[in-house]
Amino acid sequence: MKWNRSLPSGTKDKLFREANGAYQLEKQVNDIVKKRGYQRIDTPVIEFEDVFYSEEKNEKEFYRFFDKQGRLLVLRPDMTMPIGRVIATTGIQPPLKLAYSGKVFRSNDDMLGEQNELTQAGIELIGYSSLKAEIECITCAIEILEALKIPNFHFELGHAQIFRLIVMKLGLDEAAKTELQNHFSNKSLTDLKQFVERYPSELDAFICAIPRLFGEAQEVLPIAKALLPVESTIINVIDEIETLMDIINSYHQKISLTVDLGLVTLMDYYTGVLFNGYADLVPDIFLRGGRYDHLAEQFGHPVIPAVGLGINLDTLVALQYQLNNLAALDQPTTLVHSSITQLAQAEALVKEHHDYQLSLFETLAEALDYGRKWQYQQIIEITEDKIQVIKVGERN
Amino acid sequence: MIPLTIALTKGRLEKQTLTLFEQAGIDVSFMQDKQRKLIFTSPDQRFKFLLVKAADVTTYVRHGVADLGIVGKDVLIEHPFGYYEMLDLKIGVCKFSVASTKQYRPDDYKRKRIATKYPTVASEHFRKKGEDVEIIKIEGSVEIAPVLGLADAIVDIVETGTTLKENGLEIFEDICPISARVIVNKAMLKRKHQAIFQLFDELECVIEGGKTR
Repeated sequence: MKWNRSLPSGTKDKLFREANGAYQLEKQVNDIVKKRGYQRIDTPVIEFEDVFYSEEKNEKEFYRFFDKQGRLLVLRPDMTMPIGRVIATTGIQPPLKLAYSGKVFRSNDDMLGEQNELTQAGIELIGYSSLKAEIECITCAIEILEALKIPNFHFELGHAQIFRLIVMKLGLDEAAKTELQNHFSNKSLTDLKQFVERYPSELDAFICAIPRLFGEAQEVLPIAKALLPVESTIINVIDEIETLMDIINSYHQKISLTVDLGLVTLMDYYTGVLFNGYADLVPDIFLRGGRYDHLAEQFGHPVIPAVGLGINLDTLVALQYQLNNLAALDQPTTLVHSSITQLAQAEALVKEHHDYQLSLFETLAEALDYGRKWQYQQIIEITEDKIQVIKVGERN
Repeated sequence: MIPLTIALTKGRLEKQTLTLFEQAGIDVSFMQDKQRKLIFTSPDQRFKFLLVKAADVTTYVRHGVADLGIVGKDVLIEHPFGYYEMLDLKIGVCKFSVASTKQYRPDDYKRKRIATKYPTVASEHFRKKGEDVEIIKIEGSVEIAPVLGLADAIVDIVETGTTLKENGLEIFEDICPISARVIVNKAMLKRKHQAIFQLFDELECVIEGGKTR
């Protein structure tokens, strides 16, 4: 069977308005981050699998193939790990503010309706340990989403240390840790209740409440603190979230910002604040980020503090399309037709007007057909002795 | 008011779910005269129910077409991604077991062939035990596979064990218990959390084993 008329599952062609919209959106994002002083970094689409390999990750989703020496290569599933590799191996000196955009690939199971080729854009602040880096990240995201006119977007903050401190407090082994991580990421009321029955501690009430501990900070954080023993170090983490919320709220008054104390990440390199972005009409999280001070360490480099975020641009393009926000393509009005000997003169005329286009047809009849089909207003015909304007009627 | 959209597993689980809703004081009488309809909205606009096949519940919830889904744990094990699995309703209770004819020797050295409708559950189970087996996927009537010699044993859902017994099989090992779970779309939990937790609170009062907080 020949597959030359099919696309692999999870991929799509973008045509005309959508293709242009996607391109414009990516450019808009890149322009904003450039203005904010980020330097662009471009890494290859193909990398060795080891760059992305980690125990916790669901590596089923990789597109894998071999190079000529039999080593495993993958199509990059994310952009953050390659940046870690660049920092650990090139000797560039942080602090750095980096920006990227491009395609990433996930080999999802067929027929789930998932996208396997995604366009991501993001920023990474490398070498900044101050809370200002988190604030910059969120501020930058807000600027992008406002510029793109995303309706009712919404940020949510969490913290990677909450889960880690619970694991430490309970002294969990790897298997129990994975189990608890699953219950956290499922927000499972039932399973967490059963878990604390097996691993009782003074954190029981807090752990059981985790699936409900999200929402407005001024409601959730006091409840969370009340559930914790007064000396618990988790309270310090909650205080850090509170500080960050207050600062962000103080200069982005209109932004919808909530907390979720139950956030956990699949990636072990996250160490601090986590953030997610949601929007109306979008069924999934289209923006993710956080602090990951252990990124460079994964590549045998000393610890470098780092904060970053990535945005799934395809989701936003689809949303813009749905909202009819994609700018209409500039519609040309006039088709300039000439015989082949007058082509230079026609070209000169087209150059003078932004909405004129050159007819590449042999005959005037073909040019008229085309003009009618693509809704041109008029055709200018240049012949050796005259220039005439022909209106393209709606009919006839 | 935007209704809470709930994807229900068509069939027996749907009936048990609706009974549980009724016990929790939620009027579901509008679901009684179903005919062939698959979408139902409650008169007070609080709920919209979709009736779909079990495996599709996860698909509807993952894509946000439904806010919540009610589906057996057996299905979730085979389709594990893209939703929150928040509440065990303790209905539709059964278990995964390894079963075969009397002649089956679990400690035999040979590489066993295991027939099942649930390849993920079966291979996970034997992998955890450190035993390498060959899995054969069967779509139904799994019980006859060991009897006819297609497989050495089966991994299947067992409720009362009657079907096994009637086909001359017995249980050799239990893998894990199964019951109906409430799954939730990730974004919708955040956007409709009041409506969702209100429903959870109502349901938790009537779930066997009591409240989770």
